[in-house]
Amino acid sequence: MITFENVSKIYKGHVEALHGATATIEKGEFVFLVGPSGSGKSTMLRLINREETADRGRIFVAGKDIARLSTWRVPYLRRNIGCIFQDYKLLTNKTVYENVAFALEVIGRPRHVVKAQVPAILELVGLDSKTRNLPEELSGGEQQRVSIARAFVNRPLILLADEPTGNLDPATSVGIMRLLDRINRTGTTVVMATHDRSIVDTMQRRVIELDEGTIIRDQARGVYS
Amino acid sequence: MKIDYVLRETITNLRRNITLTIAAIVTVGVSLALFGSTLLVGQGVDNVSDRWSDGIEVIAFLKSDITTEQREAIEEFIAESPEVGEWEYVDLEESKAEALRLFERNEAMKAKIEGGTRVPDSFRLSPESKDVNLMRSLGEQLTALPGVHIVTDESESVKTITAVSAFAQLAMLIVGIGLLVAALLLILNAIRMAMFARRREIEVMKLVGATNWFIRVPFMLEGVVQGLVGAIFALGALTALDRAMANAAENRDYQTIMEGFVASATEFRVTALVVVLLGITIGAAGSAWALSRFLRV
Repeated sequence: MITFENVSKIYKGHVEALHGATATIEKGEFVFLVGPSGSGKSTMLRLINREETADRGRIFVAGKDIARLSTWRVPYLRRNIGCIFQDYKLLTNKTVYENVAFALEVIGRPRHVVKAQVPAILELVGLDSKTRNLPEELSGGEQQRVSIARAFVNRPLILLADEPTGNLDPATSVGIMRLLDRINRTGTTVVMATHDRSIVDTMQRRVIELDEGTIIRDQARGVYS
Repeated sequence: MKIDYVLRETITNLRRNITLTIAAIVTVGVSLALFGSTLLVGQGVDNVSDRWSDGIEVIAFLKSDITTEQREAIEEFIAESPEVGEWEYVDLEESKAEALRLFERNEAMKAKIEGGTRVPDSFRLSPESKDVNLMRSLGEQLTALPGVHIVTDESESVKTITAVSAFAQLAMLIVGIGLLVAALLLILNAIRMAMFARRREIEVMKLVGATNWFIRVPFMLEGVVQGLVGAIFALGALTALDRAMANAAENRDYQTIMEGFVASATEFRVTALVVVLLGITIGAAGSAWALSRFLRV
């Protein structure tokens, strides 16, 4: 599903965020990216949905060399990739329902599809009672659920999560991980960058460890360190 | 679905930066009004000086009761006079047609001409040299001939009007272009502000895979609306100017000077079209510039 072939990324000419990274992630895998801040985890995620482009090496997503994708095709790549973040990136002036519906509306999905999909996904993430609330009226965990609903409502092949539990307490984090695990079981490939040792150790999934831009460990059913 | 999305977003953007929107519209309006006025006045001046063009500087209008012998005598005088360069005889039919064209917008004059008021035939000639004295003496000699009603030459007043209007047109054109550039920059900034206000939405839209056009269209439309509304205000100003020119042309007190100082209906329509297209272009260019500079894909 995702292949990195000797990928390097250099920011502003001197900071090497990723150095010769090679890894293959199969369809339906759940992969943790671990390592200290600035080790290149977020860069890997940003390269997958082409928010950044690699300076060396090649990246394949769903069989396509994404460096060779023309600019106008990039949005179609991103429709296959859902993203969630530590800070949720919800629109504060829209309700829970509107935030999720927005993701379908802006890719031109017809109204009847929006009306059918949004309530279903909100039920899946357990927020069917809060559809009319604004994000600020929700707890952090609930906000992250909205953001997961938004990322998953279009049924993407891949879900990228950049420290999704970074702002949440351990109990809430467990709930979020259960949700991501459920999504993974539907066949969606999940790649999650995290600092959360206990989560990685409990889940026992594949772990790719980075240090200063280099992959130093790639272990099936691994632990944090 | 898509259309109501685009319209809703555009209206929200316009309302969100209401002061900048107004500034952009007013600037577009004023600059296009000046620009359009330049075109209209220029066409008026062209029409006034139409009969003075082609180097014809002296016109001898003939009396209504002129005999054929008298006319032949005048023709002979002109043909043999060494001071005369080019010359032509404009008969009654041509004169009438020309007058109808010059007074196209002056209904009163048009009615009179069509009602049978005689437009005199004339000899039109240009002197061999541009010497003012030569022209004057030629005029005097022609006036003395039997059958000549009146002789006009390109008087100082026409020259002054032409010179003053050329200067005024140039000044208006320069100010108009300057304001047009200001309008472009204001629209650029209005769009930039709108994009800044909506940066989180734009970020999310990119993330979930909205196409570039989908993100851009509301902003493009916002710029175009600003340009178009400005152009509509400019059209109002131009209509007023056109009426004022037509009234001045009909006013008996100014008639000799303002005669023919109107743009024809077609010329007005072309000017209006130019102004509207220019407004839309400015709006589209301003927003396209903002998008290409500040919207990273």
